[in-house]
Amino acid sequence: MSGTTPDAGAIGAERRVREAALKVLAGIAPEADLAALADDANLRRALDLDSIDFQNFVIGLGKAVGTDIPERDVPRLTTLAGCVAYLASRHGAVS
Amino acid sequence: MRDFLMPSLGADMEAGTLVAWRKRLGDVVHRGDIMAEVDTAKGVIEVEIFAEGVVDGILVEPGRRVPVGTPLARLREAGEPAAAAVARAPEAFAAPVETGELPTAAVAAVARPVPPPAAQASPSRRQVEAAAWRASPSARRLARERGVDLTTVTGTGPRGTITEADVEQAAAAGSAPSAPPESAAAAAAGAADRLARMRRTIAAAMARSKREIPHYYLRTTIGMHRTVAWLADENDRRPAERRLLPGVLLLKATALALREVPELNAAWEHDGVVLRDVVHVGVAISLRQGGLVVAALHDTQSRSLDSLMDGLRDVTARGRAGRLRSSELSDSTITVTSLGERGVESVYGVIYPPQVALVGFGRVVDRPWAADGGLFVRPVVTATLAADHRVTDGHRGGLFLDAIDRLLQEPERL
Repeated sequence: MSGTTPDAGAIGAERRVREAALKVLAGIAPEADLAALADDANLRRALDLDSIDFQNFVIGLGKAVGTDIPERDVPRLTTLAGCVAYLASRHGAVS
Repeated sequence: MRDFLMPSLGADMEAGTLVAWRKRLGDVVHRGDIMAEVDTAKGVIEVEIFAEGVVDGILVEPGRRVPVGTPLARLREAGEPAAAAVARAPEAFAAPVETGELPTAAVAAVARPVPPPAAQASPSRRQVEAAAWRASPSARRLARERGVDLTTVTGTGPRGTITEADVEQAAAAGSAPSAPPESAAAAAAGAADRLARMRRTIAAAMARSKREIPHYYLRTTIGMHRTVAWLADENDRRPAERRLLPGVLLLKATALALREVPELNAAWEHDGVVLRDVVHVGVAISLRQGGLVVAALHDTQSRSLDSLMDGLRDVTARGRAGRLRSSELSDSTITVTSLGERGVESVYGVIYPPQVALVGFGRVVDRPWAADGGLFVRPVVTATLAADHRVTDGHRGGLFLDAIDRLLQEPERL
């Protein structure tokens, strides 16, 4: 975090989404080095996720943040940064 | 009395290590119950039984590695009297032989030279039972008493039946199990070891396929705009955990197309084709650490898309965790390999013996598509068929791919 973000609540929401996403990914790709996962890396390519893996990611992420992610929004979850931007803004007060 | 045997979990399996019993002496078992866990190159498999009765004898203790077809337990069927309370588990079988065996034993067992085709052919359940019974009752009793593994004994009686004399001779010669025993520690050998074993078993099955099966290959491009549009509309109304993947529609279309060309749903056994009356589509599951397993989705034709989706997710998870059931490994009647959304556009498969066909689907991609005198950009998928020329020819294979195409144009009916 750059420290220029004015809203501490938003920072907290982003952190929670990121942690939730990494936790779900760790369950799907246990052998992956998630610490080395770049924010803008294509998740499927970086972690070798097939369509079932990715669907499980969408299900798991939705459950972790307490929302169902509509099919039409799934393309926004291509990267970790995308997940954070989409879920933190859409569900600022994630559980 | 009926024996529960070490099953053949695919054409590439020669032996397995009994990891644990899930039933005990005296337990009542029903068709489909899980009897035991067996460690193979494909993970720890839950082995089901396809008989009813009471467990009357445990013949192999956990930790032992035995060849396919070896009796593991005895089952008393309805109406049979209980066996005398003797020699329930003869000592020679009960003792985990040579514990502390190095994990290399397992590797050695699968790394043996590939046997000639006749010996290697995957025995059907009936065949294995027949082989196990080809010993006189007195010879079987003697073998149990002397701790002789009947699968290692050469019969000299009528039609190769094993006689008491054969057992005596084998016992005198210190007959050992034909596959090296393996300790429980070895059964839990590391992932690297399992991967090495898996590569060898895949190599053995695929080499046999290429050696014995005269493959022919067909390829067609299928317009997927109707399927994709129907799926998008359907998934838009569904929560994430109930959404369907395109691959499920491809599986169902493949299963239904077999109604039109049923000879592709078959097995090649004993120099002849055996048509199967049910369709169990096997799906190729790539494992994260490398290697792959094929798991059957039972009764694919009659299941709903939702049921197939649940099944696909379930076997994918358990296949990757190395926790499939024996029927899932051995029941496939045709295989589908789909290289998914990120993969290549087409795949030409190697048929998994004793099956006679393999269907491949590539990635769904947008391509220029001419239709109704116009040019459109549409999603398409490349479907391929690898089939056994001993059973079908290109004409029938072509009709099959055409049937898949037609079925996919009416996704709401799948």
